[in-house]
Amino acid sequence: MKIIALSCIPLDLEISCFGTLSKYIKDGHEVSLIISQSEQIWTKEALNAIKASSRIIGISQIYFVKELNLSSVTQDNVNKLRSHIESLNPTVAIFPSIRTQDERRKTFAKSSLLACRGIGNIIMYDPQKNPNFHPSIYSIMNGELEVKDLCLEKYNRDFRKNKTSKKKMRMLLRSYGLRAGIKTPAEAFETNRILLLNNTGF
Amino acid sequence: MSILKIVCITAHPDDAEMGIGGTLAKHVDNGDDVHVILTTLGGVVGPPKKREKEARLAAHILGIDDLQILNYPVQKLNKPNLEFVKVIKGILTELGPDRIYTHTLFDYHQVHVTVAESVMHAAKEIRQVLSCEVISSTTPEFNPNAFVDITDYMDLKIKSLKVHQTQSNKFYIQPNVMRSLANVRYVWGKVGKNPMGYAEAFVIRKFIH
Repeated sequence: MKIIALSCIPLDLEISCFGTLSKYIKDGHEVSLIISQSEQIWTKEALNAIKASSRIIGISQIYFVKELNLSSVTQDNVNKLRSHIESLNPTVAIFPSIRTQDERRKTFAKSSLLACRGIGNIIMYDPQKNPNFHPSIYSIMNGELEVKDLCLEKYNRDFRKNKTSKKKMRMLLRSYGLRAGIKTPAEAFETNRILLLNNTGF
Repeated sequence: MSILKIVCITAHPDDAEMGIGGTLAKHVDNGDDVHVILTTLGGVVGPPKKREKEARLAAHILGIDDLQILNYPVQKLNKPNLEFVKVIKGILTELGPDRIYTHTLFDYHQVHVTVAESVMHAAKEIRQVLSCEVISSTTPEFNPNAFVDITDYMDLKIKSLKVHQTQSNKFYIQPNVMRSLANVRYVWGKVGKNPMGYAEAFVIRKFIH
């Protein structure tokens, strides 16, 4: 099975779904990333960090989409994303929640949703404590927390300081676990649609 | 793929077939362990004995070996009560399902809502709970986000509904109504590209994996 994870902000994927992606890879699935690369947001250091953290969990490919307009949803944005997505032909697409409070992420999420029109399994993450985020899918983190810590370490301390810390990330995952009624930390997702009983793990 | 233990809890005979019939048949085909719990035999349309017979025949058509009929007094199901929650909890503790299918809270029928609320209450320890739609009473607020391709099981679903002779005059149980809803769900859920494809739709209440 092919899975794509999309992001426009550094560290979002590591915080929100690298544990789940790591589980997919361990199960023999192929995971690729699509990154909306704006030079203001993605410094050279951030780009090197996501490449390094992706290597840790075994992500096969990272694709960079340049010049996306993150101030509004445009057909141009959708087309740029769609050209990458169609060439990969994934079964599952993961991107930020369309209910996120951050405008850049929201624009990116809406563009991604339009670009993923033909895909049967859409799940959405939110790296912030967003009250509008209502997850219903939870992925239990067992051995993945240590891997996520290692991925975070690929970003230097100053960069992480403004974003998150290992402690904050673990607190977020623990809160999702509690919300799901389980005692272990979990990554949490909303879904637009998933296909059950179709060899997709759902 | 590992075998799943599935429990379907619905209010009346024919609810399971209408909302989840194709999905249950698909689970059976996958080798999953499927149990259907029918909470009441109704009492308004059709004599209970006959409805029980119809429910058992329909379950047999779908390949379900375990159909439990609680025959809980329907008058007591107009609103949730602790006694009913305990009954459901007892069943869930005994069966230990991986996944539950039940009614949605977005339903005009108060007994369906009571069953849905009671199951949610009793299923705190269960990892996967999904709500289904019953076309006769589910409200437009039902906004599905999970789909099952039942194209290969649609005929079986129709066959299982046809045995509900006591309900045969209801317009919503007719094959063309069932097929048109399932076709819309197939297209809406981006399930595939077959113009004659069929799907059943669900809302995920909880899905832990």
